[in-house]
Amino acid sequence: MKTLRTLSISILLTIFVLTSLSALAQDAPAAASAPAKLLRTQAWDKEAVGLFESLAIQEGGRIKPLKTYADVLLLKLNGRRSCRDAQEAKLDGTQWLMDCLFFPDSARQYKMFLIENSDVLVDLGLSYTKRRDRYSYDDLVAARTLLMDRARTYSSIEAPLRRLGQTQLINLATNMMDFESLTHALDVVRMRLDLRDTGPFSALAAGTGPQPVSALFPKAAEFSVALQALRQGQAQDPGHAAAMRALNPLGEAVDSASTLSFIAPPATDATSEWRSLGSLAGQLFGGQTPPADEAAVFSTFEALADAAPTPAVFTEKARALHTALAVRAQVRGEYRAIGLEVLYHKADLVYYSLCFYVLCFLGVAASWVRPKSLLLYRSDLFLLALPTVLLAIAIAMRCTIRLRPPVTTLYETILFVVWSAIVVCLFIEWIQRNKLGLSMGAILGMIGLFLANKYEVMEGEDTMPSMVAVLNTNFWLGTHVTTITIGYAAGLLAGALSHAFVFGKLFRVDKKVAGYYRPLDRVVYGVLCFSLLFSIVGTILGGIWANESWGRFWGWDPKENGALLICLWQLTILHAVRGRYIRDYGLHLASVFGAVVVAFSWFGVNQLGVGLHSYGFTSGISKALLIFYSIECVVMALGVLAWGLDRGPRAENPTEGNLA
Amino acid sequence: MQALKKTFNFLASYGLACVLFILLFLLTFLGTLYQVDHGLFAAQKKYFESIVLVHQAFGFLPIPLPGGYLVMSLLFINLLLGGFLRLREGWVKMGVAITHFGMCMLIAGSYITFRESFGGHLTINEGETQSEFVSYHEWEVVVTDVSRPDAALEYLIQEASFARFTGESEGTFNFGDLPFTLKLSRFSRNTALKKSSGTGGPPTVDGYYLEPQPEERDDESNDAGAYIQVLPTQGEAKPGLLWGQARKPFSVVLDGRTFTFELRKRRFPLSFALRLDKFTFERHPGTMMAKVYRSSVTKIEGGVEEAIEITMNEPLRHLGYTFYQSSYGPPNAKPGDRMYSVLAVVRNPADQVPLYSCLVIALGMVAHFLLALFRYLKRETRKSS
Repeated sequence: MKTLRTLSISILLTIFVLTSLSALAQDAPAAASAPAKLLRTQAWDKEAVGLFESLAIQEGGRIKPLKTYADVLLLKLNGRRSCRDAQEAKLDGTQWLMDCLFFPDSARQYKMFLIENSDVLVDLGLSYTKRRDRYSYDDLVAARTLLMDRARTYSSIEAPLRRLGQTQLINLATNMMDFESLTHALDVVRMRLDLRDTGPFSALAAGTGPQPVSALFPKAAEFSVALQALRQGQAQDPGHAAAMRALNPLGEAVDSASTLSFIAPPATDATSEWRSLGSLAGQLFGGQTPPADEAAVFSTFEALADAAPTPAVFTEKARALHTALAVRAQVRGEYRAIGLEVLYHKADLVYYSLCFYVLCFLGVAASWVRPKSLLLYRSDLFLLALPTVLLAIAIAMRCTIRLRPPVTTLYETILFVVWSAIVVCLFIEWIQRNKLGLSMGAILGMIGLFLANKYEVMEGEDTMPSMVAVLNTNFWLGTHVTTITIGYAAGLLAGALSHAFVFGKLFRVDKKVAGYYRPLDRVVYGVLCFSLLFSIVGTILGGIWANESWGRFWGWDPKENGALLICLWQLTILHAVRGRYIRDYGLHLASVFGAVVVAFSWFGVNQLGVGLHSYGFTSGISKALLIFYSIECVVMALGVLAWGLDRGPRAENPTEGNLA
Repeated sequence: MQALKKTFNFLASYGLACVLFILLFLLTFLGTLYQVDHGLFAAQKKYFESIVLVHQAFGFLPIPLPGGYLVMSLLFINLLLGGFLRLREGWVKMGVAITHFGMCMLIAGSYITFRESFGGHLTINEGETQSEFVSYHEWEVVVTDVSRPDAALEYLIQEASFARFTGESEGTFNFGDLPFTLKLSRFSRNTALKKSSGTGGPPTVDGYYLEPQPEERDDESNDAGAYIQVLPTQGEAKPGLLWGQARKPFSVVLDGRTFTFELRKRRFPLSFALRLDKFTFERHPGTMMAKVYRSSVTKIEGGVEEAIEITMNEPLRHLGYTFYQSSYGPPNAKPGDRMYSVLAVVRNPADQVPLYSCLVIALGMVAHFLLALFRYLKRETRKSS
């Protein structure tokens, strides 16, 4: 049996041959009439949406629910996981995807192409009302040719030399193509082929008229022979032009239908590659009949497409399809985490955690106004602990879905850093009970999860991607990556806590009460020690991993160097404190700089684009990093200013005899 | 005695530790940025494996700095002496002392790796057996008497022996039983073979000469070259060119014997052989992303065969050598094509030192910080009660 790859090549070749032939068919008349528009008139049935969101597909090298695919794609196009239909009703990712598949003409009207900068529209000669706005496909389609031309031109410019507007235009072109392929993904099950009077294909015609593609599956061998005859024949042959008119859309539909791979191969099959509707229909071009069970799935899709305007029938067909597809995946053990992943997205615990951290922040602000209210203090504690538990559940769900340790991608480092830092904050609060840990936890939770959300939108990709070969080890991901990430978290937390010192000094907070600064000194020192422990052990573990996979413990690779910089800076601070070269101001200013070092190590070195840690390279965050570095420099400058202004007697060594 | 004590205190001081940490911090940061334009190899040589260096700040301001080698040597002394000082402070500082000794172990291990380890790659086709590996960086000149029945007998000159003979300086080499002396000159780690345009310029051999080139960012892309003169015990000197990319070796016939002279990457023989039975490259389905690289090899030693799998993160360790899955080819192979696998080979006597150091350091730090935390909590509890 031919492999799918060989098959797809043969399809492409066939399409190419057919396209070339069609160019020769000068006498081919234009299409008789435009097909009726596919517009949704009723809301989607909830059960049908539920069935669709838990359909398993293979995409990006892994099995995932259709909901994940839909949400991520919509996030990429629209900057959020939902959009509004033409009647302004809200649609989630799955409903939007179902519209794209079953009612493409409706989907083309939705304003879900987010254009951040109107310069892109000016470049395309389109009008605009707001600098940042959303547009529908129908709004943009008039400039499609120009858009693609411009995108080709801009793509030839090296990425670092491109202007932001040029990059955004390329992204828009990619998004439009992604959308187009989705709206044509079910053309192959919607189309009806009329093969009457089509020369060599006439023998395949159904007596009564147009037929679905699945009706041709039993006649695949004859189809292949007819195709051969068509290739060898002449444009002037009778029926040639009609055959071209019938087959060209089929070739295009087969191509478009390869976007989504719904059909798991049999458990006994050697390949782990799932089949798409396109790959099934494409077998016709190779003269092969798809296996009966796969052909049946294809027919169910045809029935489903037909039933789209009738919600009750559609749901019934969707039920049958879901069962058929889920059983195939279950037999291979590939449906294990689909339900959990759907639940992960629907529960949206990361978003709710962010909301609770915001509430906690407001509560903490209120408790500073009413410092003696025990009720307020306790509710703030609850509002910090609850989202931390929710975040832990979200991280645990991700681990269960992927069967991986908590940190495997940059996005996950953000979640884990935030969670670890807040756990340390809760510990600080438990020891000190002075609202320091509480306040810092609320602020870090709020900022951290906001950034996690921003990062997810910026990347516009699945946050649970397949792993490159070198990362394919749970032992090292679980030890080195987790440890070093806790080191990052504590380093950032120490820097954040030192902000409280700098601003406290600058604004003379609690100047006359000794109970504000001394505990802060001790906490920062303690958190730095904690960070150093994890950073050093994490860095050395990273070296040991490198020794296992690349053959050397230390190679001065930028990512390794970044981790070393954190260790060296923290060692400097702790030794300088012990040697009494720095006291309170020195400790806190150095700790703020430590946060800059952590940011450089965490994200900054990834921007350099060199080294072996290429799987961690990122782009597009240089601006955010520069802003962070600048803010921290300003904080340090303010700290120096406060130092100058603080004419009081110097505090004693903050840590002597305590933690060091 | 007083001076000795002062020196000891200085070498073990927090102040020296801070200065060394800051210097190493600076070197690490500058060396990281330097890699972007100059590559890892150059950055490593300049910043981390040097005694002193001159850093060009902003491209024009020269700043002399101590190199990584010097800083880390001093840090080793500081850590060791600092560790002994902490020991004197009793069990409370035991954790710090243990951490210091763990760090010393790590630096000592790194030094052993730096001085003693060597490595290269073993590139092997499916079905083929190999019993030697090739250096990534080092060159050697090999002289072979191809007219002998055992042409495998080779006379070797390692790069360390001729690397200094750049420009006009010449090195002379003798091999007891060979009827000639060799002279090597104008060695350069990166050269281009050029056709002579006629007048002036470097000496030519058969109308060609070697032109030194700036070294590539990636050291493996350099093509070394040198001028050679074969001086027979009797007769005329025979000049030639040795070039890393030469298609065939330079050869000379003397007394009816043919000798070949070749400049090639250094080869290291192994006392056992590896046969590549199959190379497997799996992608994540439907993508171009690699999921697994796997070399199924057979180790042949003393007539005994053993089947072994080498994958990413799971190397083969044997007789002090470690074989890692590094690369594969051909790049655009189709199913059924004969594959080759590239195994990186390292011999490092301190291979496992980082692991033991890590355990010692972690033990020391955990002990110290937990102790400090408990003491702090105890004090706080006493205060509040």
